Amino acid sequence: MTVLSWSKIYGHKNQKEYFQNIITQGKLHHAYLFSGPPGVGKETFAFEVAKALNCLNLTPQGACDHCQSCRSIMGFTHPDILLLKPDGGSLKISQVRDFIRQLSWARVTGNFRLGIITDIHLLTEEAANCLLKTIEEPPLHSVLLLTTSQLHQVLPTIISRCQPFHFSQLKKEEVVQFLENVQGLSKEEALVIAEEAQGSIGQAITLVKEGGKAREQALYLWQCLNKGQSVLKLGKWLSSNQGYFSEIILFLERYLRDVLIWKLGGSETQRVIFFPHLLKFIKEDSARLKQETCRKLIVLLEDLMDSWSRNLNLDIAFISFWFKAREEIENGD
Amino acid sequence: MAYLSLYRKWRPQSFDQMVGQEVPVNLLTRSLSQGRIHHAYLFSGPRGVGKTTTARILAMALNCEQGVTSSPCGSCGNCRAIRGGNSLDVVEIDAASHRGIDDIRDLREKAKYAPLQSRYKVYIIDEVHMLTTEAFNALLKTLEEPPSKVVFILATTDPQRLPETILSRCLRLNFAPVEPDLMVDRLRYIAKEEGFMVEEEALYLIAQKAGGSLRDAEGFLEQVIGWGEKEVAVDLVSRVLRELDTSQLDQLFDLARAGERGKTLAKLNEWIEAGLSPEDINRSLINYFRSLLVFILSEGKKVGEFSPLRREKLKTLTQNLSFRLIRECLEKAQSVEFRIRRSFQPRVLLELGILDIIDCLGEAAKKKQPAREEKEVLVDNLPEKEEEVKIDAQPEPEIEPQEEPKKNGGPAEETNHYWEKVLAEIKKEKISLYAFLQAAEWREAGPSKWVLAFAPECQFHKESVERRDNLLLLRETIKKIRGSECSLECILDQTVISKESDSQEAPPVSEEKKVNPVLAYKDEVGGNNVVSQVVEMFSGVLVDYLVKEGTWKGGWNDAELEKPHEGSPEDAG
Repeated sequence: MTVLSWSKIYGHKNQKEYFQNIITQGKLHHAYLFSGPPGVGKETFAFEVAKALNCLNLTPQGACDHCQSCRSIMGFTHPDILLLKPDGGSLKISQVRDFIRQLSWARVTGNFRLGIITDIHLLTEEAANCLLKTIEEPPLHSVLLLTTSQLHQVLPTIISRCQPFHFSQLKKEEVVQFLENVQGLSKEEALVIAEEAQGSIGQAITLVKEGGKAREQALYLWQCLNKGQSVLKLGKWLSSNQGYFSEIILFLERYLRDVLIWKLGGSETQRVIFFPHLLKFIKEDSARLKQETCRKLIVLLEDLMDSWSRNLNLDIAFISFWFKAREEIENGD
Repeated sequence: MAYLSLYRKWRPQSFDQMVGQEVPVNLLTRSLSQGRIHHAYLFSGPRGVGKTTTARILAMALNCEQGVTSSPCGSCGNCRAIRGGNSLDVVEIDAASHRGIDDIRDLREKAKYAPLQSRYKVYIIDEVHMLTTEAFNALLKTLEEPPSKVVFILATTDPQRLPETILSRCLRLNFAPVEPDLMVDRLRYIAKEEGFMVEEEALYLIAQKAGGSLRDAEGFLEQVIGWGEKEVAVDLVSRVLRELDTSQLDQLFDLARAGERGKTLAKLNEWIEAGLSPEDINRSLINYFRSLLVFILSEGKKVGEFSPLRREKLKTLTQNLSFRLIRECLEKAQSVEFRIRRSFQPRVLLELGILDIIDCLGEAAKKKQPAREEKEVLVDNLPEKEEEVKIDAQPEPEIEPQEEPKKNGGPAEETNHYWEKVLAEIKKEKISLYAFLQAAEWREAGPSKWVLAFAPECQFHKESVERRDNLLLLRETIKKIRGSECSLECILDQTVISKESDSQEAPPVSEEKKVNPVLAYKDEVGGNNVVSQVVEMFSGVLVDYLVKEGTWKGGWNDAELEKPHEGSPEDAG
């Protein structure tokens, strides 16, 4: 994870304003909960808050990034910043107990002792309950910053003790900016990737690395589905693309959603379309497919993703999807 | 003193500051003033309603230097120590992080010693549901008969996880979610004390978002005033809390009702771009439909969760909406809610769900006539409220446009008249029940008691009708048609021998039945009514039949019936 300076955080204008405001006023709550889809910068933001709270020459624009405190936070060596991350898929009660104990120690150098816990939806039930009293009334001068991408999996008793902030997906322009400035892409490339990244910088970085493979394969799969290619051939395709499976399926799902939306609203909905760069195909498909077919296919893809996320046998799930989808398409024609 | 968040700063320090919670608070104050002190209390209830707070106040009340009192002074040494959390005799234990048997053993060990400074030694065991089984059991004996001068207060959000043996040893007090009205009053007070003016509508929005938890509400209030604006308007609240305010939802609903698919989706897009998550939007939709339902059902009575302004708006909004339609929309949104949690593409699901709802509203608009009929039935239920709920009241004959095959003039035929309406209604709702009811004779046995008489061979029909769900549906339908409750009894009666053929004489379905060939068929095969049984079993309408000559020997196996077409009931009606 890269720690950026406050002003270099992309998007989340409201949150930045809010924290600038309360930090200058000194009206700090003792626990904040940052929720939102993965890769939009929740942790980055939490570290930024930590820096701002402990910075030695705080400016209205946030931390200075030069003082000893800022540099040690960026190097993850600050003694007053406690970072708790999931250990192998969950946050365990022993980790949390340690964390609570350390949080109660006196400050070493900073103004605040900060506890940052990431992915708190991975807290085990015991661990989550263990945190409750601490989140409600933490030791003096300590602030807790929690992040999660699955808010509904967090205990309501935890949420109720925190101030929740939602970090929504970024605007397309913001992702484009990021890609241009930080990743050094050209404007056109950046635009295409930003459209596919769904407002997540994390996702955009992955897309840059994989170089449009998901898009290619999703469109290939869609072609095969329409032509009714032999499923045996696809078995091979499936095993060679296993690593990108979810990306491919999600891409196709979004594509079909675009087809559906275009069908319903026509050019009026252009603004809502996910993939304007594929508009040509979307138009063709929406002229060809029935509304009902699109909807059913989306539901089928949802089911397939559900099986995938539950670790069911992918081959079987895929074949079952394939035949159902073929049936829908044939009925639709 | 460091800045304290609002919910800590404004934690009530005496019983009369508590918001809501009349029952437990009254019980405690009264028993305290009588000096009756139980040795173990269990406070249960949802998050943020005041369990821990009450426990602390109770500790103060027991140990106040003024004596055991229902109104602790808050200024004596003991009260101050308890408030500051440093009293030696009031021990607050976080049972979720000290949940093992060793922690409880330690507690028992220390409970033996007499209190140091005060009258009682009070153990507040918070989040007690997280104790391990062993720890619970180790506590049992101490909880039943603690050393004198020891009081236990257990607090939990999850009382069903406590063992029975613990529950039975405690005096249990249930804390209810806080009413929106009371919550708004409290928020208004706090905001004023903090020097902020918050719009009334904004307070209601906060209360709605808090869902009965005062701590949540105070947290939200803090978040809102954290923006530093002295006068807080409703749109700031809806932006900060990401709770759509009702006027925005009204707009979406209007678009959806008008069938504007493209515009509705554009609106959704707008919200998502403004930072709302699809989950939030869907939850707001569910709340919205729920509030419409509640309003329709409240029939203009005052309900605490709506501000006065909102009530006016809802009155016009729900004018042409039927209860059932809104319920359907609600169910649609609810099913999306269920799926959206697991989905990787919550937005796509939300959009599909909205499209479904638009379809659903569109269909209803097409069949507007029946929808209005239903609304009127609702009004009929409560005639005294009629003037309050302004609906374009149509005269009686409008209600039954299609189902009135014969004239029901005299009052003697009243029963039959209702019965037919009920049957027609049931047929729409649940065709199987309709089929069973066909076998029954309908007798009025009193002003609000009806008897369904079945022929003795129709035992199965009777039992099916008597199934709980069927009876419920039947009663509900009758209530809707007649406008009043009535009791039902199913009997077997010898006099209803040939009910099955009787039932054809008073057919609820119009034209088709008049030329019903089943009767003719019965004459032909000498009263054996296999065909009518088949028709009944599949709830169909007989269009034509054909018996192959010479093959009929009177039994099932030999009968070869050819049904050229069996129309479904919808086709027929």
